[in-house]
Amino acid sequence: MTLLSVEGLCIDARGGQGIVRDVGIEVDPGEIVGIVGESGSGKTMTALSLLGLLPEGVSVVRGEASLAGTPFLRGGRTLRRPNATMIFQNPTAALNPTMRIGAQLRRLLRFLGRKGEAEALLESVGIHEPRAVMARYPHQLSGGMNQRVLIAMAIAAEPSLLIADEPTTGLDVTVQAQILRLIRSTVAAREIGVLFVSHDMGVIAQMCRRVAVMYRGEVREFADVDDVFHAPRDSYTKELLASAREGDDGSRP
Amino acid sequence: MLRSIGRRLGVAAVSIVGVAVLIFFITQLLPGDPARIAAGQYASNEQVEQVRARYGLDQPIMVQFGGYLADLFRFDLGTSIRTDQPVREELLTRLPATLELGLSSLLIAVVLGVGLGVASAVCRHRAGDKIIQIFVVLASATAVFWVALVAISVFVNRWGLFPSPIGRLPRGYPPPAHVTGFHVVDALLAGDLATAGAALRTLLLPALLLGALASASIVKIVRSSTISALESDYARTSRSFGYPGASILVRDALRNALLPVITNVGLVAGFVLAGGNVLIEQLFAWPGIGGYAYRSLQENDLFALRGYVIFIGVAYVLINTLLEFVYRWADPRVAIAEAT
Amino acid sequence: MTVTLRGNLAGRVRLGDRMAYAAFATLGLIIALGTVVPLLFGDGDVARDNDALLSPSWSHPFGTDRYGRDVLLRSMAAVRIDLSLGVVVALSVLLIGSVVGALSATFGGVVDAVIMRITDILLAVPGVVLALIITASLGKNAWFAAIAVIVAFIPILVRLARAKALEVRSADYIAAARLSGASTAGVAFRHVLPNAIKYPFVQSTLVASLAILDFAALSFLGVGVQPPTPEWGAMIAEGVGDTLLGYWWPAFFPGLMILLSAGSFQVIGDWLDRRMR
Repeated sequence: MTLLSVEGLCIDARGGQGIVRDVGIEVDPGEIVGIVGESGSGKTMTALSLLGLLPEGVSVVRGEASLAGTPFLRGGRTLRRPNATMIFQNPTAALNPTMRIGAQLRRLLRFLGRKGEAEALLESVGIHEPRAVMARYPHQLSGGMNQRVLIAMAIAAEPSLLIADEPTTGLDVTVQAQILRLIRSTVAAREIGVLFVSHDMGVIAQMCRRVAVMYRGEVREFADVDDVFHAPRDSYTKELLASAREGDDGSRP
Repeated sequence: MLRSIGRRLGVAAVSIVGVAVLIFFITQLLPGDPARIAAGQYASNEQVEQVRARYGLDQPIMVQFGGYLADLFRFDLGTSIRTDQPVREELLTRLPATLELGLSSLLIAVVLGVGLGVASAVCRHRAGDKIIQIFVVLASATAVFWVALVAISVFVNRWGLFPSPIGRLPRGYPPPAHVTGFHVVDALLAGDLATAGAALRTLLLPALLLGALASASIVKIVRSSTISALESDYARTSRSFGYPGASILVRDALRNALLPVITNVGLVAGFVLAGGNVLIEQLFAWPGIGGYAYRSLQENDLFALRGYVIFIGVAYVLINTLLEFVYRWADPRVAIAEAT
Repeated sequence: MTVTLRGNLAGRVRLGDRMAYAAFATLGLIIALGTVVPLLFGDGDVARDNDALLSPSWSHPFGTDRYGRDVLLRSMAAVRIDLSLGVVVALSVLLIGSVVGALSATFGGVVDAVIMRITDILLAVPGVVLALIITASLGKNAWFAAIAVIVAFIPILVRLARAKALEVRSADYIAAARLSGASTAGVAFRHVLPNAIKYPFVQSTLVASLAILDFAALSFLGVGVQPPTPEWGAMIAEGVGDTLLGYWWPAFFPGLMILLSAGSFQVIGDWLDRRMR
């Protein structure tokens, strides 16, 4: 059974300018599906639209989406909050600068109607001294550490889908590898499906089974990563691959 | 931490000394002749010379400067030419009246400014926002003395909503026993509700005027900082978890959006305690230090005016230093940046 | 500056283009009327005791004051002094502030430190109080009041221009100019200043607005323009007693002129700010 299914998604900016056109994507339970494309291809907007996080002036105009068989988006209108959470690019900015990590975790757990698990939660994402981290403010921690905190928060909500929007862009290469490993092991243990957005073909190849290649708001190709890499059918995908191989920055293992 | 506090206090001390020196040279070295100004426009040369000798203005400039600094060091602000009283005592007796009015205005300015600023940000680009923006333009382009005059003639003379502008209490009310110096508080402490009510009604109009005009600058700052906090990455994270809007507004937006207000409070305090205060106290016959400065100005009492300016300068430096400490306490990023 | 919050150039108002056009139109109308009306009908400085305190009517649209002078004519005659002083103050502040700020940023070191300490001290006194003591010491006169307002605003523009200049200075083309052997002063005037002046220029429209208010306030306090010269603040001061007796017009209309002109400058400043970004 399909976990996430998106069909015919269209997103417009104010004034009718199309940002995303007729996008369709599927994620199976426990599967990591990539969306790859250059900046401005509409991949981040697609991800944000699923959780109703589009910036002001940008809105979904058409499209259907369902999670675990329950529709949450129909005819461009959000019907309910899907049981999904999200992690972002630039983790330090994604945490409230005036609240300690502990306070932010407790805020989430209280909202979820649970308590007292903050430390265990941090330990589960490989933070060895949870108490010390909880006493800190986000700007006192490294980007990698903050991303771990955000991953801990994202899985605390026990989602069936995790949306990851460029979660390792801007981190050091070694940290990048750790975070990618953490995401993979975390979702594998919990059977969480992942929609993994990245501009980096190498990261996508490492993380995903299937990938959607986006260009100018359209999905040009949605297929197994191996097929896309070895036998790309779309002309744009070929170009993207060629440039990725040329400028390979060693982020692939 | 302690070292940065010490450094900040050092900067404050240097500023205060700088202000004292600056004021002395403004009053002494500028082309105007202080003795002539003090003696008045129509004084004879003889009278001018008398004034000059009496206040030591015939001494060499550095001797005068030394005496002036020595006096200031003993918190002596000089002697008024008009009343022949020590300026410091005259200011201190008038200070409670100004503080009562100024602090009420400051409270109104902050409450109104933050409220309107947040409202403006929440309904940005819609009708409510437009109306608030127009209020901001009007408030920051209105002369405080003019709007006070209009308000007195409409609200007091025509509609009788407030007592006549003849001081801190309407005719027939004796001032309450002095405890804090704030009439409203003192009357309440004495259990005299009638006097407290009368004092409050008298206070309300000038405080509202000063507060409303001063709020404009706070509205501007709160609006833009609230908008950027609401559109920030961390507010987006909160929305991604589905937190209620009120929680996002209070814990994500306001906490961060109110930080720049702290710095702005210093400017507003300068306005309600000094700038706008001189004009309002004059029109409402409010017996505070602003009215004193106005009288000194009218009667060419340069020494009283100089004492007032130094008094205000020192208070202003201290207020701003205090606000910096508040800011440091409120924004964890500053304290940490300095500690490392 | 007496009635404004000096340093309050930070926050922005956001009004649409239509408001900006209305502000340009208002300001244009004020300038046109302030030029034409005094030429055609005089300054209204003729006192006629029989016509004292006439309420607004067709022959005296703004009424007459206690000396029987036409308030409309006086309000229009005051445009010259109030608006041109606002503009002169704004331009002087812009020019002096930008040059000093750019020099401070370019030379750095001791020059920068000294200039910054001086602005610190000037900013340590509320602008009101600074302008008051300057005018009180110099003498009660319109020019001295204008100088006082200029001195009160300069430190803010110095800071602004310095911050902008520091940004510009680190730009690549400055390094290129330095490498090709340009002198420090040459770099300051040819490269840093023009680029650093754009933002302060926008700010100076706001300074014009605040300067009009402050100048009127100083005149209201009796240390600016002296009666019988027509000036809005001084006219309001003269009309205080009459207003309290119910004759509202001699003080009301000059205040309205202040509101319209200061408000127009504010809206225009906001518009320029959006345009130049």
